Amino acid sequence: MSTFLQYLIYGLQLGSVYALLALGYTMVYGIVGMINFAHGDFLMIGALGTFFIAKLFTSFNIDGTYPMLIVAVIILIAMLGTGAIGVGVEAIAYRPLRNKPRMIALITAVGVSMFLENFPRALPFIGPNPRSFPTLFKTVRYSFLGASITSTQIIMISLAAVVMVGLYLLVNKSKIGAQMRAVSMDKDAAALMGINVNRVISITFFIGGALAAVAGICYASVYPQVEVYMGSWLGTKSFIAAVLGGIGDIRGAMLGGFIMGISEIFATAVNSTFGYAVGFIILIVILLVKPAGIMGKLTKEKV
Amino acid sequence: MNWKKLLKTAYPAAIVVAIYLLTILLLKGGLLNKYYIQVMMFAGINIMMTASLNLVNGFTGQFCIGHAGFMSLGAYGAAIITTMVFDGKNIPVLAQTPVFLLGLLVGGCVAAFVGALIGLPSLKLKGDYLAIVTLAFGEIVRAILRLIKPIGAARGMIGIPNYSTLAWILLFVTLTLYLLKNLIYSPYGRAFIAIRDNEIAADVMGIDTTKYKITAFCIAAFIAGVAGGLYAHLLAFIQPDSFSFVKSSDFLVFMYAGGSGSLTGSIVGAALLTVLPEVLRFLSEWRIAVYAVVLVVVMLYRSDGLVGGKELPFMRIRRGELYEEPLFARKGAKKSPSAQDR
Amino acid sequence: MSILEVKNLSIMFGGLCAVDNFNLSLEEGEMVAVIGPNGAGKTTVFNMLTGIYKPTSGSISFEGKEMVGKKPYQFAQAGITRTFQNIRLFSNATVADNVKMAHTMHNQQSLASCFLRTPAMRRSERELDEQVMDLLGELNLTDKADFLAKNLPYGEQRRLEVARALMTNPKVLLLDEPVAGMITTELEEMARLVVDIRKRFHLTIILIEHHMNFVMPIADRIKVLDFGKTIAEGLPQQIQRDPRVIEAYLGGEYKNVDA
Repeated sequence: MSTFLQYLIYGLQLGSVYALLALGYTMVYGIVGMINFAHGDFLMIGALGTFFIAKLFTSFNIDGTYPMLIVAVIILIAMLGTGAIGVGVEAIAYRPLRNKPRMIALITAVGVSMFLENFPRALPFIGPNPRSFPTLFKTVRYSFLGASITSTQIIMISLAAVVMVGLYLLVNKSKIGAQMRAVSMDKDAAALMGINVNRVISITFFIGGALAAVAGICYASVYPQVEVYMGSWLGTKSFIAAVLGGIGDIRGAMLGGFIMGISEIFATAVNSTFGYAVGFIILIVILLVKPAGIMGKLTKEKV
Repeated sequence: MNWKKLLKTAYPAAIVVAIYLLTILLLKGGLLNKYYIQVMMFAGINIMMTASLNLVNGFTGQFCIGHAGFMSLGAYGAAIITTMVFDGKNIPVLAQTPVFLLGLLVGGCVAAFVGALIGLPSLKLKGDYLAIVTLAFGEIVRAILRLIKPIGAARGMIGIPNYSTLAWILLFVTLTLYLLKNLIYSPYGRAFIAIRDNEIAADVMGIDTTKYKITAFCIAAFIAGVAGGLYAHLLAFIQPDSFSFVKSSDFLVFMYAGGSGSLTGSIVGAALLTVLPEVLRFLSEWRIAVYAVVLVVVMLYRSDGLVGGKELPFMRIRRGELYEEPLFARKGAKKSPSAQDR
Repeated sequence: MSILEVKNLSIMFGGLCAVDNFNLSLEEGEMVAVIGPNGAGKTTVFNMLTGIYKPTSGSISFEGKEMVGKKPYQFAQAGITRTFQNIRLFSNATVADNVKMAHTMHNQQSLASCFLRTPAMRRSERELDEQVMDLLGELNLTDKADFLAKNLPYGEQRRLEVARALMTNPKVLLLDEPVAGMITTELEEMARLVVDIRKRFHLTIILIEHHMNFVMPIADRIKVLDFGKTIAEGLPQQIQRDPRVIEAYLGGEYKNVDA
């Protein structure tokens, strides 16, 4: 029982990362219909960025960690920065291709991903070597029903949860959220209704980037080696999570992320190759059973 | 013998032969070294991969993004024949060519067979879902190959004889392009394009869309398998991780950068983008970043591809050519009505 | 002898009954028109008659064979084909190729002979081309043969759709709003064309259309749909005066106005 609980905790932790990242994929797909292959790299930018931002605040560093206020500031800066990069990428590389076939934007996304990974790598102060992510929180280990859970894990999972709830409220209860939903249903009609489509899309990419930054921080707090290629594999798995939940659906992305995270942890416990493959197995099963994803709705083409 | 027609049909082959002879000349003269030849050979293999991918994605309008999976099946299939069924580096000279060709054939067939297996259930899926399944396929093949001990598991297979020469690769590239061109301008090719342009209409007009999609898929898989075999015998070493989604995405990039639905585009895209990273080597650590920028710029400013989706004359067959004099005019044969009469 | 027997054809989309017990006994050589307000279910009936939708209940018997559950290409191979309300041409292909694509199901050339472009294959291609050009000639599209389908003007695109459908050698041709968006002169041309091809190709035709001056002169009989149900059926003159039809199209106030 306690091992089960332990794995569950790790699963929730990994699941939060996947869920946060999957949200970015799903929102972008919902709004502009493209799969942003570079999204995983936003996670890396968030994590690596936090590493460097934390350096700026070293004066506040007390015995290895930072005070909570400073941590909040660091995370906020990382979110804003990554969000801004997201907006920039959209404006430069994706916006001009909005009316072209989707594969063109996809290939461009591949190029963007390549650039986001290799440009920092070439910069002398970053380079290819992994860096050690700073400890942002004092780690206190708690015991719960026989399993151990650290304060870091609690904070990470809670942070992810708070962010997700906030996003859900934003999309469903706010005016900008209504605009986002309108654009995702019919871009042209939304424009005719007076919605500034470009602004809505930029905001979506900003949110996606910010969420990816949080995901990166959560991930790096547990696996502290950060390097330029860390985002792409996580991105692929989060993308599968988004599809699993129903691409374009926010609750689906969250659900998919947690399912992927939890299954991966339990599967790896059985066998490492199984852990590697379980994501794909789940994917194939869902595609055979319900291709639109758990929450998705298949739209029929009108003849 | 229609000499004018012979010139018109044979000039592409003549160009290929000329390229080969020129390359050998430069090699002997010391102006080129083995490294350049190897880059040319990789370009050739990439052209085969890109053109076959174009058959499925560009001409039939499907979203297959796991093409490297077929390449790996062909690579391992061929390598198993030459190193495990036959004696690897110790094969007698006279037997080398037949064994090599057998290996390539087996590799191609394995890839095509698996293609049919995967294609049957998956090609019923549309758009993005098919993409995801093919992505998963590529990764699953890789995962399985990593587990099979006799072929080297994750560490890969070494000791593959170096049978791929420039001549062989040029031959296979030319053959692939010739056969694909003929296929495109035939009832099969037209069926593929119909499926791409309007699948529902194609269905209603009597085209068994599933059958034709699977046909395109298997042909592409076969070609990719042969290319994989050539690849294995060029590098003399293969490992499962070289055939990951990264490799599949390379071919996608070549295809779209060159031009989807254009064989000329596949040639240009694959050749240019294989050579570009080598040309950029002087930039050392900035190399890939610059390559990425070039790619994004090409996609932004030439979204239809570097050749704009068109074909060079030798890669296309005009309708009027059906009415031209055949190469060998039989004595007393009726002259077919000329294009002007129609 | 009825070539097509449709009995109690119905389809439900979720809780909505889009077509409710559609019946049709089609005689060979007939021209039947199906009319009704927008959303009445006419195109849905066509979609079922060509295998695009599977009906929830009912049967379609073509030349004695049950067709429900078959795929669209099987309907085409049996001899039923159609044109589309929203033109569905192969936009990036030439006019000639569009028609050739409809010939695929009659293709005799093997994959190998296509790869090698054998003399036999080339001869077959030439014969096909000649056949296609003849057909395009009948429809006044010869000089546009090498144009891309998407670059054709609207009226010619509709004619191309008809040419393409004819290439499948159909026995029954379904025309879905063939004159939508056309002006009077184009309408008359198309009416002449439809009557002409019906005779020349020995076709049985079912027609969906809103333009009454197109339908009335050429249809043998008319069925009227409204909200999925068949509300009237009969000869053109009868239908014109049927109060239920007038009510469906124009609303109740016009029921007693002399048509």
